[in-house]
Amino acid sequence: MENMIKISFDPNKTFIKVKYKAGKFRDGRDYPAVDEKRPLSLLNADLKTLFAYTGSNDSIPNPERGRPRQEVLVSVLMRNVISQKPWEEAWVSFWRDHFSIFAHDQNVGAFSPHWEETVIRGHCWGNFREMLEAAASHPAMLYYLNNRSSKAGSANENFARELFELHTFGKNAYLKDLYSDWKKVPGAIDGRAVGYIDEDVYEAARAFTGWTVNDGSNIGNNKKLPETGDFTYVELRHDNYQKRILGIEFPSYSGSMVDGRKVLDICSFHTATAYHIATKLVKRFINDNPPKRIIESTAEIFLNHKNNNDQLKKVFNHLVQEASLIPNSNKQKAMTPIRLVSKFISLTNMPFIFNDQGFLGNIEGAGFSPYSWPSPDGIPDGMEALLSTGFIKERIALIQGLAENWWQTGELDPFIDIGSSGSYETLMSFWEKKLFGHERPDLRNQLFKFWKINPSDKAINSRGINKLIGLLACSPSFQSEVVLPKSII
Amino acid sequence: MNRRDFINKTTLLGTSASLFGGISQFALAQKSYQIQSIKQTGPLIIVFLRGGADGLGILSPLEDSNFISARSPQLLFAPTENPILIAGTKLFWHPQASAFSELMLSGRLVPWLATGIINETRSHFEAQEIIERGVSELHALPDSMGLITKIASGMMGPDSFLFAGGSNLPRAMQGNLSAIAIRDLQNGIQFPGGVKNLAVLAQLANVDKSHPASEPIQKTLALLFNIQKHLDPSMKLDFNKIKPYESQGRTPYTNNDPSVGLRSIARLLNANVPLQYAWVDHGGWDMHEGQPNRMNNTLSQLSQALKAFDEDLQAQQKKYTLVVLTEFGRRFRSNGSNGTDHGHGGLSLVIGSHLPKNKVMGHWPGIAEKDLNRGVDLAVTTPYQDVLNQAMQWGQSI
Repeated sequence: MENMIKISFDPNKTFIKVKYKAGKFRDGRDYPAVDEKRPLSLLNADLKTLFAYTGSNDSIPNPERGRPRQEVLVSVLMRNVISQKPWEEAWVSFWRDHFSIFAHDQNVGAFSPHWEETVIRGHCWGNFREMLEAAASHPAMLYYLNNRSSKAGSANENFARELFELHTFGKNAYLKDLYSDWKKVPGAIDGRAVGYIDEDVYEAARAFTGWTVNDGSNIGNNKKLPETGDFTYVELRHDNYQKRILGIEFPSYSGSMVDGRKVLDICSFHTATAYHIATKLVKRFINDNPPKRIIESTAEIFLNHKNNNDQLKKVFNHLVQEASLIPNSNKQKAMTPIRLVSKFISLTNMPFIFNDQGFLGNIEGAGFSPYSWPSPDGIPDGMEALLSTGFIKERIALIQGLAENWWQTGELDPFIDIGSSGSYETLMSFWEKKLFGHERPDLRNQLFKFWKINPSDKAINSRGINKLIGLLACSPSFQSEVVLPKSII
Repeated sequence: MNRRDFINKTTLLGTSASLFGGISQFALAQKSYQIQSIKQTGPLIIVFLRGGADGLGILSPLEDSNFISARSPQLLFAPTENPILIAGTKLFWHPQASAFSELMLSGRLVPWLATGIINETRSHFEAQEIIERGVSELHALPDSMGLITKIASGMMGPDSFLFAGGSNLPRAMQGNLSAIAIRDLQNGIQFPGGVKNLAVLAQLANVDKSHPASEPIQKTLALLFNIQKHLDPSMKLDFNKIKPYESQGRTPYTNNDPSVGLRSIARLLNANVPLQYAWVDHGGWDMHEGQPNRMNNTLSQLSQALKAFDEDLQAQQKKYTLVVLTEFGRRFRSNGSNGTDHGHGGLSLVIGSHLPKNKVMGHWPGIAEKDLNRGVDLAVTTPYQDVLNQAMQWGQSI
């Protein structure tokens, strides 16, 4: 019987350091110096509470405004560490990256806990059309892609362009050479355009004018928006005149939010969107070179269930079924740094307590941590990107650091399930089975040879053994895994 | 290809800016622009402005009524000294770009107007990929090599490698050459567990060589060792902290991008690492909203970094060629958010130790409505490939 170590995540007992010097708010009020550890408190905060962290009402000291982002990062890490079903966290993380926002921008990061909870986790097993509207109308996205300030007359194109290119149609459906020749887009005359052109971006930007945030700004007619941080539709800013998007006519004065919602319908239900998302999914969950046949069947499932409440769960299960027909060696995916440490912690059955001693810095240094990618295309996927030369050293540091407890996150006990009476040979083969599922005498012998260890000597020095366990997990075979479960959920 | 062939070929393609007068965008689109590969005497460094830098906001036609009426007053600034005169139009450097004006006056900077891709895309990610693969079109490409990999192929010495002064290896450096990305080398390379760990991990990666992660791990470990060997004068190779690098110029490097990456490059050159090709990303140029403040901050980061780098290398009498590129310029008319949307023609800069004095490159297409690309954007009159080719040609003649 194994001694299972139970790791728990209680936000009230998880602490982040807060340390800054005394300073002044913009209006001259003083704020005091702070040096303490505070438990996570913003993960379920409402938008009004989080709005204060944008800094626009000057109620939170400037050095503290990154806190929502830090909390969400710690919560993502801990949810991965404690998860018994890592594929569920992988699914969440796919959608987080698909609707990528950059939380180091304070206006965006302020809302990141609410975004993670409601938009990503709240919809990622549900319906894509609903998820898309949740994203399009969330303050994090409205700030990030600037739709917040988009007004009739000279609309801001940022959101509309990335909605088409990144969130839905994909760049393969961008018919850039046609620019404004909408009649030349195949199918457009019948309202079934196969792709989009720049003019569609311009028109869609007009459709979303007025979708904004209650951020206290003046909207004319002596009206000021409240400072509550939630979504609002401002009729005064909306461009109400007729539009034509992908060959579909939009009559003038359609009504409140009708134009924007119609664009979201067109985008969500389009074949190009299904293919774009299916391609990304198959790449992320099965193989860096996604097989065409699986992309096609996944796109079909996506479209067939476009009106279902569990459309995305059905897509997930379809991927599971397709992947079950593929040998493990053909569905290896490089692990992200967070997955790498989570897997190491769970396979080694070691304790893990998050304490803010620099571990997060290493996680971020190892590349592509949540909400850290500046541009809206989201983090790159694939072995080549994740194991880029800039990140390998930091990945090694993460594993070695956990094995040798550099950050006081918990001590790995190499004897926990096997006792301390065995030889190096016995002990290492036991740990190889834990990490790789089978013995790896090739790796073990190389380690013994290098460190001049006699395999039959009794292994008693836990520090030395921990180092060897860490080194095993830095080998190439431990950098990838099969992501999906064996059977549907 | 020898030098003579190169000149013949590039002349045919119209490298010389004067040839461009009257050549329309359409005519440009008919040609297939090739990046040349020339052995440089000094290193070639690319600083890539991610997000599409507003060339018209960096070097502004402030006296052109078309410009004044197209842009929100907050996007304009009071005229600065030493404007550039081209085709009857005066272009003024943004106040935060005064370092560029100074570099130009001292013969160490050549601005290149109306540059970009010969492609209609207004997508960041397509436009960046087009440049980073050294092409004009993404259809049916024969290989997946990056721009710098192509330029450097067959040109690199045995100990040389491609270096990116940032956290991510850019698309432009993907391919079959040794390449590494390290943002900050101020403390050297602190490898966890020191040289012994590095050696044993290299052996494990070799044992595990059938796994696809083996090759990138082995390559990285070898490069880290190689770099630290140069940087650590004690030759102890314990991978402990080394002394921070100090610039030999007057202007200090700052602790943000692109200063940090350029400082890392300067440190490698200072340590006589055989570096021939380097890259630094500078983000934050996608200014759809609140452009006045963002331009002030982002442009000052860029101009201070390039000034610091030039002073540092000049003091050390190091030769170099640096090209500042971006994926596209921004929309001629500003939007209602005090920003600008994605556009077409942009601005490139060539900086270095051996440039023609007081020179402005490129053909100014004009900004009257009829001159704009699609009626909305500055036209492209020089493909970015030609900017690179010319810069490399200057780099060869050191």
